[in-house]
Amino acid sequence: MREYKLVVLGSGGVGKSALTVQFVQGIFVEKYDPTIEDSYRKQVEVDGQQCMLEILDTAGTEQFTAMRDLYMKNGQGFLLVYSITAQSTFNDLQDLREQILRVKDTDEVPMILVGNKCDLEDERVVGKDQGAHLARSFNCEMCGFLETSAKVKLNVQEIFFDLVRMINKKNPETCKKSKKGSKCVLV
Amino acid sequence: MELNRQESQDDVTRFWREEREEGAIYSAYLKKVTYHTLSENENKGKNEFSHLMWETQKFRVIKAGTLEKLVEYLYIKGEMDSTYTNVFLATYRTFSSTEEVMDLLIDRYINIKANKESKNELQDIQLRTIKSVFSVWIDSYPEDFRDPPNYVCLRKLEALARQHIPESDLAIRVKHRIDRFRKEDLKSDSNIEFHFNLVEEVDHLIVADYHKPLTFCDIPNQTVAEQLTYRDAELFKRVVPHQCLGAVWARRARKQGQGGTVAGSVLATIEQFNRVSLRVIATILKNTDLKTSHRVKVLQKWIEIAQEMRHLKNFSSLKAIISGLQANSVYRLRKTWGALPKESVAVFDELSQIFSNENNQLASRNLLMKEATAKFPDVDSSNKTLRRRNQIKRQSWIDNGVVQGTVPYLGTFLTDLTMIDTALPDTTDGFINFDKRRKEFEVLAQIKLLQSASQIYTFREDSQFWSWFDAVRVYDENESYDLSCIIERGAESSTKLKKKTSVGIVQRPSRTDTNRFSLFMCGGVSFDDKSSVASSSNLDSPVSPNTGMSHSSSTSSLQSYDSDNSTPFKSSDACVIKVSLEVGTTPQSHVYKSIMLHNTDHTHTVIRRILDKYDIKGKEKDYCLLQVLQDGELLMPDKANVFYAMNNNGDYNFVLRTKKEQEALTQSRKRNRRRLKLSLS
Repeated sequence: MREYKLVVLGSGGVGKSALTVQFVQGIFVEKYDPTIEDSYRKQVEVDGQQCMLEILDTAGTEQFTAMRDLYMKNGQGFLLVYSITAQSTFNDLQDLREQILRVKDTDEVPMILVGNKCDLEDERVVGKDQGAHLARSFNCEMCGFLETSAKVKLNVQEIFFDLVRMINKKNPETCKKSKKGSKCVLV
Repeated sequence: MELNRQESQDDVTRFWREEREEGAIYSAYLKKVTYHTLSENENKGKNEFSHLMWETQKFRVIKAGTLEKLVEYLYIKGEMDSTYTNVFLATYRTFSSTEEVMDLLIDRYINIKANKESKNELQDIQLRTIKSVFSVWIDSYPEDFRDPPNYVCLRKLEALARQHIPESDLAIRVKHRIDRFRKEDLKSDSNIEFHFNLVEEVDHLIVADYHKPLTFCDIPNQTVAEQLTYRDAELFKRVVPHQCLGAVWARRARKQGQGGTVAGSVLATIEQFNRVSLRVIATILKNTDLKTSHRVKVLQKWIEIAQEMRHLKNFSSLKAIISGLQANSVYRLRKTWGALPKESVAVFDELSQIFSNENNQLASRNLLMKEATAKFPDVDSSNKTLRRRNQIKRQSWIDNGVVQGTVPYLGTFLTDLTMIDTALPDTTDGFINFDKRRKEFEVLAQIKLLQSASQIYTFREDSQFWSWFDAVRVYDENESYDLSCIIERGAESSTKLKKKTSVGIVQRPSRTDTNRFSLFMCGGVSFDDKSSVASSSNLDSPVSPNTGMSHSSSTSSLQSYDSDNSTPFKSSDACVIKVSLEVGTTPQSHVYKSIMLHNTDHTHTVIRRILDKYDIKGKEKDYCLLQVLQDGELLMPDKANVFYAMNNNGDYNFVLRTKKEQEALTQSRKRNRRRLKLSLS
C-alpha cells in the first residue's frame, strides 16, 4: 500500500485541528486519544486504490517557527489552511508557500488551498474568488482550492482526497513497497 | 476477624452503565474487591483459597454536570474519585471563574453549617472537605486570587473563615496571602519592571563595550549547554500548566505583543526555543567568506552541544538546535555537511531521530516517559565508538552520583491539548463535559511531573554567556536563505527560486526574533559588518522567468528590517531606533545599527552618535536624518528633538544620508512628479 505524508499548515486559529480530527476520527470522537502512535493515520480508498495517509498537523505549535522547515521537508503534499473570517491568515499563506518551494527546491509541490470555516458566511472577509485566484496564481497544475467547514462537515474528506490525487498525478509510478513511505519523497 | 483489603490482579474494574440524576450524568463502575484474612496471609496458609472472600462494589464518578453539581461533587464525592479535586482545580477556568466557584463553595459551607444537626458525621466530613479544598486551592493556584487592588475572592474567604471557621488558621493564611500579593503587586508595576529590564540590558551593553565580547568558538560546549539548560528550566518551571489548555492557548494568537497576558508563560518558552534555533543558524551562516573547513567547525560544535543537551536531558534546546541545523538555509549547505567528520554525522543522525515526526512522535514520547524521572539519561548508540564513549560517561555519572533534571519540548503537549480540545465537546446534553477535563488533566499532570523534574538542575546564570547570546545578530527566513545561497550556490532550480525570496520580504515583513533587545544589542557589540551586508540585490542570479512574481522581485528594501512584529521598544523618556546608512554607492542595505534615543536628543546629537557608531569621520551638519515610513520619509529638521518629532506609528526605522544626496533625491522626485502631472493632464 502506498503511503502518503500530508502536512496541514496555516496560522493559529484557522481550524486546522478541526479538519484533521474530523478526517481521521470521523464520528467516533469520544474515544479520541491524540497521544497514541496512530492517532493521525488513516487508511482510505481513493479512486479504487488503498492508501495509507499519515497526517502531520502542526496545531498548537505554529509559533515554533524554526521547526517549519522540517515539517516541509518530510511532507509530500500540503494543505494550506486559512480562515475565511480572517484576512491575515489568508495573507500568511504566500510566505508559507514560498518557504515550501524553497525547502523542496522545486516549483511542483502538490498543495490544496483550503478556506476553512465557510459555515460562518456572516463573518466572511475573504471572498471565494480571492481564494480561487490565489490558487491559480500559485500553479494551476499543482494547487487546488476548496472551501471547507469542519463544523458542518463540508468538503473535509475531499481536501485530503484531492491532495492524494494530486500527488498521484505528479508521481504516477506506484512506489515499490518500501518500509517507509519516505522513499517516495518528492524532490 | 481482621480483614485486609488487597488489590490483586483478580480485581477488575468494569464500566457498568451511565446513570442520570438531576443536573448530572455519572459513569457507574463495578469493581471486584478481594479480601484476605491478615493472619492467614502472614502464615502463608496452604489452604489460602478457602479464606478468600470477595465482593463487587459499585462506584461512580461524575461524567458531566451543571456547575452547581460539579462544585457539590467536590465535597460529596467518594474515595474512589480521588483525583477529582485536582482535575477540577486544574481545569475549571475553561468553564467557570474563580469568583463563581468560590461563591458557590462559600454559600454551601454556610448552608451546611446552618442546618447542621449535632453529631452528624457526614456533614462534619463535608465541612472539613470544603475547608481542605480552599487550602489546596490557595496553595496550588495562588495566581487565581491575584486580582488587585481589592482581592475580592480572598476577602470573601477571609470573612468566611473569621465568622464560621474560627478554630482553623485559614483566616490568618488568607490574610498573609493578601498582604504578600499587595506587596508584590505594588513592586511589579509593569512599567517599573520594564525599566529594570532596560537597566539590565544597558549594563550588558556597557560590559560588552568594555570587555572583548566572547566569540562562539571560545565558549566551551559545556557552558553553552548548561546555560541554555539553566534558562530553559527556569522558563519551564514557570509555565502555568493550565495556560497550555487548548481553550486557553488557542486564544493567544491575537493577543501577542501586549505582554502575552493570555498565555505568557508558554509564549516565553517558545520564544527562547526560537532564539536558540536562530542563533544556531546565525553562527553558521555569518561570515559568508568563511572557509568551509571553518564553517564545519561551527557546525560540529553545535552537534557536540546538542549531544551535551541530550546528556542533560534538556529536550527543549536539544530540539531547538536540531531544528536550527535542519533549517533549510543550513541543511542545504551540502559542501559543509559533506566535510563533517563521520562521527559527528552519526551523532546528528541519532539525535535527529529522537524528534522524528513518524508515528505521532512516538520516539520522543517514549524517551521522555522513560527518562523524565530517571537520574540520568540512557544514551544508546548503534555506532561503536559512540557507544563506548556513552558507557564511559554513564559510569562517571554513577561514580560521581550525578542526577540530572529534565526539560521537555513543550510543543508536543500543546498539540495534544489542542487536539483534545478540538475533538471533545465542551458540553454533553447541556452539561459541562467533565470527562473532557479528565482527559486534559492527564496531560497537565505530565507537565507538572516534569516541572518537578526540572527543579533538579543546579546551574547558575553566567552573565557573560548571555551577553554573547543576546548580541548575536540573527537573520530572518529570507536573509538566512540569501546568505546560504551566497555561501553555496544552489542548482539551477534553486537560483530560479532565489528571486522569489524577495517577494516575501516586500509583501510582508517577516517575523523572526521577537526579542527586541537582540536587535538593540547588535548595534552595541561588535559584529562583523561584512557578514551582514549580504542580502539585498547582490545576488547575481538571472531574473526569474516567472512573470507573475517579477513585479516584486526588486531588492529586499528597507522594509525587511522593520520586521520585528513586536512593538518597538519605547519608554516615556528613551527608545531604540534603527538607523541604516545610505552613502554613495551602497544604497539600501540590510545593515542597520541600533541607536539609543533619549527625549533630550536633538538631531545633531543623534547624527553624531550614528556617525560614531558607523565609524565615519564627518561633520554632523553634512548629514540629514530621515524616518522611514510606510508612505515615504520624514525629514528631521536640524533643530528638532527627534524623540518627539518622529512618527510614533510603526517602527522606528531611520536612514542617514548626506545632505547633498538628499537634495539630489528630492530633485529627481520632483521631476518625476512633474512628469507624472504632465502625463496626466
